Formats: sequence, structure tokens, C-alpha cells
Amino acid sequence: MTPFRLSRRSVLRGLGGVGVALPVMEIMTPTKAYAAPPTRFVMAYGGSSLGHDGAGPMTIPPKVTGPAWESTKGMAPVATLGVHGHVGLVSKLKVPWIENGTMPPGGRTTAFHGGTLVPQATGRKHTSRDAAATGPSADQIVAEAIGGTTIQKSLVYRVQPVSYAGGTGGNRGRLSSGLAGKSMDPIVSPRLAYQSLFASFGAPAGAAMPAESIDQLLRKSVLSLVKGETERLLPKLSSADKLRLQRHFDELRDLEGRVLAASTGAAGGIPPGASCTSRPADPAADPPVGANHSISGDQLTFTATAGYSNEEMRAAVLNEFIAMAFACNLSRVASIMYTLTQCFMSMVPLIGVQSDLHEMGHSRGNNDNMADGVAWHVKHFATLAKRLASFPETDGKTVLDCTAMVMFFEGGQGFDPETGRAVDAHSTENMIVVTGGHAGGFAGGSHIVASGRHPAEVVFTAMNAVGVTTPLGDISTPVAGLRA
Amino acid sequence: MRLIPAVSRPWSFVFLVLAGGSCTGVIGDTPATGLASAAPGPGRPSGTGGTPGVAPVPTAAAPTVDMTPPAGMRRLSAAEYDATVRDLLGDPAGGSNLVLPDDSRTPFDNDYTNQTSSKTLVEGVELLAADATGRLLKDTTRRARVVGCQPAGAKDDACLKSFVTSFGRRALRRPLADDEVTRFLTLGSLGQMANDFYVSVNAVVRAFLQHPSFLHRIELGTPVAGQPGIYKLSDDEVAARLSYLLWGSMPSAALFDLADRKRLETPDAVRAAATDMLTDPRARDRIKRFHAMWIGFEELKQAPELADAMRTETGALIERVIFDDRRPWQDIFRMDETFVGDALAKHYGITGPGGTQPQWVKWGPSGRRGLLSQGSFLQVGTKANDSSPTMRGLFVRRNLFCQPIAPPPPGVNTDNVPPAVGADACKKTRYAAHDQGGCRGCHDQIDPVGFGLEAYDKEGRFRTTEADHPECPISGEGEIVGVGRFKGPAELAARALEAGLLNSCVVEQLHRFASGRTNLDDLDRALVARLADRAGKKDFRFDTLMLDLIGSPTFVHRREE
Repeated sequence: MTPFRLSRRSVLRGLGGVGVALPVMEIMTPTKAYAAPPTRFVMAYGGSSLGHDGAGPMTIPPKVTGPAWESTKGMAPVATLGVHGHVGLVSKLKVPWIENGTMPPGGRTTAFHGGTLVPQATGRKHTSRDAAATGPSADQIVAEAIGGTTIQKSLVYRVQPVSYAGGTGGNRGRLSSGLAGKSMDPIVSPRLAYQSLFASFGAPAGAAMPAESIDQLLRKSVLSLVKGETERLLPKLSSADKLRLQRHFDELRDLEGRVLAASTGAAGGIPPGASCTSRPADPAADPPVGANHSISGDQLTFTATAGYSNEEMRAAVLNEFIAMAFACNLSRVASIMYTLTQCFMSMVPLIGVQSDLHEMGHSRGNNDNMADGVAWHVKHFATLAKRLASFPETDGKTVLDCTAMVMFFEGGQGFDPETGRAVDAHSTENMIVVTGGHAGGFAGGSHIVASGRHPAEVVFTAMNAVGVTTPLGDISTPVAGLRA
Repeated sequence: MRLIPAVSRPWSFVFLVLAGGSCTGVIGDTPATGLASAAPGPGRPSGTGGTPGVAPVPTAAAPTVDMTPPAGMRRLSAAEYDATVRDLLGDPAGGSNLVLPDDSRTPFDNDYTNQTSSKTLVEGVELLAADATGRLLKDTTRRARVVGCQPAGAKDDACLKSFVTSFGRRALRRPLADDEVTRFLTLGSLGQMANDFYVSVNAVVRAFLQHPSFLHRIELGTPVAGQPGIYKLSDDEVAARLSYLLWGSMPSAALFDLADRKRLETPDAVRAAATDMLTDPRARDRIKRFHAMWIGFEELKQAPELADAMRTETGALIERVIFDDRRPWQDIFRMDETFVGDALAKHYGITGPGGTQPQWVKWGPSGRRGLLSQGSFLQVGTKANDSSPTMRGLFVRRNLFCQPIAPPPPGVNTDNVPPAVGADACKKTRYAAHDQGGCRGCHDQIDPVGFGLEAYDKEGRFRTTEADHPECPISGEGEIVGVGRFKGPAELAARALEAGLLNSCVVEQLHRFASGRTNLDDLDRALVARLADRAGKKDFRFDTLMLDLIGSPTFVHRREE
């Protein structure tokens, strides 16, 4: 079917009974200029520790503090990408754990895997071995506060599509949790991410936005019909089923609103005050998903196809979507989980080590390998920062200047309360949070030592930088020096 | 108020409850006495399916309507979604699991109580619908078959109405009401605007593929007089229950026809339909997948060639016992032959068939028998480098015996194996750490089961010493505490069958799979007990068990949650 263009007037006339009401949204108001550019927030995660069992100390944190910190193996991409000054880190952090029956604020159980993400993302105590959240994550709190009426209040992405050890990771593959405290399903497919953000725009990548096409009209008509049928079904259901379908209806309504808003905003979808003029290219088909690691004889075999789904490309694409969404003012908040907790992604195609990321911290690697694994995450985080810095804002700043970015990891290196070992990868001592951006005076490019402070306090400081002072779970104290 | 039918509990579950750091055995209604009462006894469904010496007993009563368990709206799992699109549109593309949110495994992929709608779901469904429709429209032959009429032009109301009515009946698994048809026909304006009839088809198909009644199996039914909260399902709802249980997909034309003619009104009629459906190849695949999810071999960790050989071996065993030979289900665990080629035979250390093509060969003096001796089972409960007696024992207790075991208390290390004790790195010594303090209560029940499988490595090969510690001999002796000692997977299966543990569990797991709920309540347990009792007093064939479940009055009713 060849797409063609119709005027909006003729489209609405032809729709007849299928016409849909357009919600009034900020992006639909005519040429509204922002007094100041909006702030943005990124929360990222890597499912790795920072050092190897028994081989301390790790070499990722720099020795020099402040903005002039020296490059290290783990942080090398920051210099390589030329974003020194925009991307930095806070080091010597610690997620505390239960001791003598007492769980500290934001604490974890001594069980490592599955126990460290939630305290960092939500600032809450985590008493379960399951990685399921019990409170809202920082990105969702921020989205509620600063999302305004953007088309997508938040973007929730994951790069690594499956665990490679069977299944898709369950809650170990969920970084964000909603305001009700329930872990959220991330978008894993780059195609779906594209569809979600940009498919409602009618123009090819790089071109001006056109009049509405039949494809767009068809999409809206179908959604309207499906939403209506869902609504008609609701009264017929039992109370339990009604609750379930109501949730589905709400999601359909939200989707319809996003589609309508994206296709009817100024300039064919680009909201006023945006720093972009075009959409990114359609990524077409998703990269094939790699097989689980296979066992051959007594050896795990790490090949280019097992344990790898071209996460390199997936990360780049999803990063670009976040950047474009921020620049186009389609969203102001994003979470991106680069790798799953206890990550079994193969390191062969990425850094050439015959191991998955998890085992590299134990029997198949060393501290340098771990630094390279961390650096892979830092590279993508820094790439996103660099891209955000490429978009000028209306006041002469850049989008990165209006963004606060944080990326935390599953573990650090140090004492493991499970085994009692002094230097272990299963530790939440000596953790780092990689930072980026300058929103609200956020010193995203500096190296700050915050001995013993909770990583969620860094996240909380980033929240403060974008104007959100709501406590993050148990955490309500910012890290001194991280904001100018 | 839910009425609990007055039925006996003919079999007991060993319910291990972790309290204060130790396990307390609580067995059904009986006082806590550890696992001793897991031994076979009166009422336990110890039917061994044709075991010599077991005298025939009268068939137990069938379940009754008042035993109908609760049922809720069920979203198609990713596997069901793919199969349904395949059967509805003739589209084998699949792959919806890479777009839709994860289906949690409990161990099955269809627990509706875990299903929550999300942005990712609705956007994923929309994308999948657009993809499937796009493929359909490009394939003009398939398109013509699905549409079913030849449009006279861009505006052909009669053809569009015929398509909406017939396709909608299949997509939603029920006839459309007139007003529904009318609403779908409004999409015809799109085709007129585009001067292309198939633009309307595009919109209609995409709308049906996102319709809540396509994406979910929604059961309404009609209230049953004198049975508060119980509803009799419509014929179409029964047809969908049947097809998704037996095929994992939508009803066939023949099944729709039965529903249209109101031939699914009675349990006997439903049972007859199910009997026919079991002859469809999809039933074989469905029942193999049930076992694969339950017993843990859906995703094998071995190298591709070995994994394929193991998957073929296990699938052949299940098909032979259930469909080809129609043996008692228990023979899956005691079959003295296995379906292998020379490579897998060599892997097991048995005599192969003399070629690469798999054939049935005797296990012979290897000591192996049945599914638990196959690599597809022995790979479960292993760590990357070796088998784990704890993980294997836990898997057997939880999955095969249906004994819920609480997780260890916070702070207990389960990621690493117990460390060596001084210079002694043998597993027996290392795992002795579990015999201390609060660990002991549970691990005394778990680890001995795993140690009984230790003579078989993580790929199912026989061994006499530990892989990394050749100085450590493996005795291969284990115990189901309270039942008896065993050595190796064949004896484990024998002890479990004698005790009725597997018999009980297969019925319970089948009910979970059929009902789409993992957490069972008293009603479920009463129904399961009745079905298990009946199976134990018959020949315990799996197809008969399924037909008993399907032919029960509870299958054509639902209880409001």
C-alpha cells in the first residue's frame, strides 16, 4: 500500500463515526514558548560489580577528585568521547546490609544478586531475594513531577533482551517501578521503542513533518475502535476481571492520547520549544536474539552468537531514541537498563574475554576485565551524554545542560557479608555512580568521593537537581558537592 | 461465600514451611511429623497404572459442579498468541515473546494472576498486529483465503460485512453481535478514502488483533440456579477452554461448528470433542510442552546438537507413552528403552542403534530408566560448572513432588556452593555445612535427594568421581526422607511412584496448567484430589486423566473470583 497524504480536514470529514476526540495537551497548544528549557532526568543501570573476587583494589575510580579527575580503565570512554567535564562519578559508595537483625535505611539482605538494585533505584530497604520493587523508582517520581504533559511521561528501556541462562530475567530485568511500587515492564525491542515514540510522525527521517497519512489515520481509527470495544466490555465482567481490563483500558487510552498528540502537535508532531527538527531513522528489524550459553563437555562455550543479541547496536539505538525524545520534548525522563542483574551477556564480542559479564568477576576474569566490562556501560552512558550535548536549547545552553544523569551498578568490590570474604565481587562496598549533565547545577562531570554514602543519595541529588525534593524511599540527604 | 465441598483428602502433600530459620514438616491435615507420612498409604493415589498385583478398585466419583474452582480472564501467553495468529491468519512468523512483556514461569507460562497490562503490552500488541496484517496483505493468496470474498471495488459493503462477520467470529472466538459488526464496518471509510478495499481489511484485522476478546480469554457464562457465584459457560467459551488447553491455540472450524450447534453443553459432549482433539498433532506438542515446562527441559543448556538430541529423546518418550502405546503415564518414568542415536547413546554410555538416526534402544544394565535418567532432566538444578545436590533436590521436591518449600531466610548465601572444609573439597563434606543450625530443617529434606543423582553429571553422563576433584568418590546414594533410600534416577522414580508422589503431582500440575493459576485454594485441592483418586483407580493414562478433567462438570463452569 502506498502511503499518501490527506489534509486533516478531509480526513476528519471522511472518518464519520470513527472520529476521535483530541485531548488538550501541552504540545498541542499553539507555538507556546518556554520561559526556560525543561529539565530532564536519566537513570541507567549496569548488572555488574566493579572488581574481581580477591583481587583488590579495583582500578575504576580515579585518584584525583574534582573536575580534573584522571582517566582510568573503567572510565576511559569519557575521555575518548570527549565528554570529560560532562560525565564524572561519585565513588566509595556503599549500600548497607542487614546486620545483627537490623536493616539500615536503604539496606539490603546479605544475599547479593537480586538484592542491590531496588535499594539504589528506590532508596528503600529490600528484604527479599526477589528483585521485585516495593516502592517507586527515582525516574518515576521525577516523571510525575517534571513530565508535564509530554507525550511520554517516561521512557523505560532495557538493552539486554534475555538473560542467556533461560528466560528473560523476570524482576532482574526491571529497573523502574511505578508510583504504586510495582516493577514495570521495560520496552526491549528497538522497533517497539521506535513505534512508541516516532511512528505517529508522518515524515521520513530528516524530512519535515507532512500532513496526516492514511497510515496514521488508520492507526488512530483502529485504536479508537479497540478502546471503545474495551470500554463496552467492562460492565459485563466480574469485579476481579473488571479491575484487570480497566488497567488495560487505561493503557489503551494513554496510547491513543500519545498517538493523537504526536501526530497533531505543532509542525506535525514536534512540540514547541523543542530542539529537534526531525525524527531518527526507523531501526527496522530488531537484531536476532542470541541463544542461551551452551555447555559443551565441562566448558561453557562463549561464541559470537550465544549470549549476545547485538547489545552494542541495541544500546546505541535506544540511547538515540532517548536523546531525540528529550530534544524533541516528547519525554523528559528515561530509565535504561543496559544489562540485567547478574548479567550473563557474553563478553566475547565486546571485549574479547571468554566469559559472560557475571563470571568475569569470579572464575573467568580479573580486575582489568571487570574494568573493561564497566567501561562498556560507561561508553554508552557517555555517548548518550554527548548526544544530549549536541542539541542546543533555546537559551543557548544544551539539552545536557538541562539534564541530570546517573548510572549505578549491581555491586562494587569489597567485603561480602554472605561469605565473609574481605575482597569479593559480591559486595556493595566501594560502589560508584556515574554521573552526567548539569541541570540545576548538577556537577555531573566531577569526581566526588563520598565515603560510605548510599548510591541512592547520589540519585536523590540528581532528583534535586531537576527540582524534585520528594524523598527517595528512606533517602532524603543529598551528597554535598555534587551540586554547585 | 465460597462453599468447600465435603470431599476427602485422599493424598497428602508434604508442606515444608520455613519458620524461624528451620523447616517444620506440615503434611496436609496431619500433625507435623516430618516426611514419614509421605509414604504410600490409604487414599494416596498410588495407582501405578497397570502394575502387576494391583487389584482393580471401583472408580471414584467424578467431580461435581460445586467443586468448580475460581477462574478469571486470561491473557494469551506469547506462545498462545503466536499459535493463534498462525491458525487465524496462516502466519507462522511467531516471535511475539521478543516484543511482549515476559510471561512469568511458575513453572507454566500462563498464570493469569501474574498478568498485568502495561504500556509495553498495549504498544507491543499494536506493533505485532500491524506486522501480522502487513504480512497478510503482501501475500495475496493467503489474503484471499482469509478475507473469503472478492471485493467488487474499493467500496464493497457486502464483502466487507461478510469478512468482518466471519473473521470476527474466529478472531474473537464467538459470534459478533450486530452492533459490533456495524462498528467494525465504520473502518470501511478508510478503504474508500484510500480507494483500496484492502485498506479497510488492514484496519479490520489490526483491530481484531488488538481486541480485548482476542487478546484475552474472557468467560462470562450464565448464573447457575442454586449455585451462587457459579456460571455455566457458553459453548463458545467451552470451545476456547478446550482448544487452549489441548492445542494452545484457537478452536478449529470443526470445534466452532460444535459450538454453533450447541454440542458442547454437557460434560459427555465435551469429553467426546476432546477425545477427537487429542488426535490432532497440536495436542502432542501441547502435552510435550506441558511436561517440558513442568519438568524443566524447555530450555536446555547443552550445545545445540546435544540439546536437540535430548529434546528429541524426551519428546519421543512422552509421545510413545501417552499417544502411541497409550501406556500408564508412570511409564514415562520407568521405560526401559530410550530414543537415541549413536552420539547420545555414547554420551550415556549405552549401546547405540548403529547410526546417527535415533531409534529405540534398551537402557540395559546402565541402571537408567525413564525420563529422570535422560539428560534433559539431569541438566536441571545445576550450576555452570557442576551439578548442585541442593538445587536438584529442591527442583525434585518443588516441581516433581509439588511440595512447596519456602525460600531460605534473608542473608543465606545460595549463589555459591559451600566452600571446602580445610583440605577436604569433596561435596559430601562441603554440603555438610547445611546440616547445621537452622539450615538443617530444609536441607535434610532436599540435599539427600540431590545426592542420589550425583553419579550423573550436569549433562547426564555417568561418573564415579567429582569432575573437579577426582579424589572424591561419588556413592550416588540418596534418600527421599520418609519414603526410602535410592541410588540414581531410576530408583528415585521408583520410590516416588511407589509413594504416589508423582501421581499426586502430575494431577496438581495439570490442574495448574489448565486453570492458569499457580496458587491453589481448598476448592482446587478438592478437585485435584478427586481427579487423582479417579486416575489412581483406573489405569492412570495421561489422556484419560485429561479427559476426566475435561469431562468433569467443573470444566464447563466457572466460579466468580
